[in-house]
Amino acid sequence: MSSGAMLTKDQEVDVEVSPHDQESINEFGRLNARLHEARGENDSYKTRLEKLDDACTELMMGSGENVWVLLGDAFISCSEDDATALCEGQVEKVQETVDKLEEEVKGIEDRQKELKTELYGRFGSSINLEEA
Amino acid sequence: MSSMVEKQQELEGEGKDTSLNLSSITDGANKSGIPKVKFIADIDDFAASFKPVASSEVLIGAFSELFSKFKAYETNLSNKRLTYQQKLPEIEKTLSLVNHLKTKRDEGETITTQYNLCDTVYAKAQLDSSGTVNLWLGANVMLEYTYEEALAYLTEKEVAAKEEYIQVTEDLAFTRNQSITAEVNMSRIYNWDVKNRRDAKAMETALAGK
Repeated sequence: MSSGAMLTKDQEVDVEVSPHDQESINEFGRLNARLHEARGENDSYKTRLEKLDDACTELMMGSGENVWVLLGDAFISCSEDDATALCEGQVEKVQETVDKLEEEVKGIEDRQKELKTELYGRFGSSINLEEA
Repeated sequence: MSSMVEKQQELEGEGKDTSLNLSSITDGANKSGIPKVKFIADIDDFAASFKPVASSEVLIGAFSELFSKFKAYETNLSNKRLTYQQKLPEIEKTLSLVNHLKTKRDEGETITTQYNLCDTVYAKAQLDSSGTVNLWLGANVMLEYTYEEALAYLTEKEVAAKEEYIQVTEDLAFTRNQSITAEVNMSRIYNWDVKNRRDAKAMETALAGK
C-alpha cells in the first residue's frame, strides 16, 4: 500500500471502498501480521521439539545409569525411566503446541486466499496484497 | 517560491481554525479503551462536515498523526506480548520443578542435584524433603511455601498470565485494524484529492476552450 509505482490512469479502478471492504482489508493485514508471528513461534517450538526428541533417543540408548535432567535452573539426578517420562511428557506438550500453531497457519493461509480473491476482484491492480 | 510559503501559511491557518479534532476521526473505543478509527463512507461529505471545509492536506495530516500514534501503541503492545511470552515458560519451568519435588517427597526419595552456584560453577547437593520451597517473587523478596501452596500459587499465576496474554493479543489485533484503517483512509483521501484536481483541471480546459 505504501510503496510501489504509480498506476497509469487506465489502471486505476474507480470503486468506492465500502465498510465491508475495509473490514476485509483489515482482516487481511491482521492475518498477515499474525502469520509472521505464528511462523516464528512455530520455528522456535520446533527447535525445542527436536532437542527433546534427541534427548529421548539418547535416553533410549543409555546405559541404565542415572542421568542429569535440567528442571528449572538446576540439574536433577534421575533414573533413566524417570528421565524418559519427564522428557516424553514435555515432547507431548510441545508437540501439541506445534500442531495447534500449524493448524492456525494453515487456517490463516486459506482465509487469506479467500480474501485475496475477494479484494482483487473488487479493486484489481489498485490494491497490492503480495509480500514485498 | 512565494506561493509555497503562502500555501503553507494558509494550511497552518486552516489547521488552527478547523473544527476537526480527535473525536471527529475516531469512532468510539473498544472495551480496553482503545479508540476506533472512523471509517469514512463518503469523503466529500466527510470533508464538508468540518468548518471550514477541510482540505485534503489537513485530513491526511490528521490521519497520519493518528496512524503514528497507533503504530507506537502497536509496538508497545507487541513488547508487552513478548514479556508474557517469556514469563509463561518461566512459570511453567518452576511449576515442573515444584511438581518434581513433590512427587519425590511423596515417594520418599532424596533428590540429588547439581545447582548453579554462580555463572560457571555447578555444585552438587542432596535435598532432604522439607516439604517447603522458596519462591522468588521479585523486588528482592523470597517467600517460603509448602509444595501444595507453591503449586496453587504458581498455577494461579499461570492462569492469570495466560488470560492477560490473550487480552494483549486481542488488543494488538484491534490496534492493527486501526492502523490499517487509518492507512487506507489516507490513501483514499489522497486519491480523492488527485481526482478532484484532475476534474478541476478538465473543467478549466473545457471553459478555456469555449
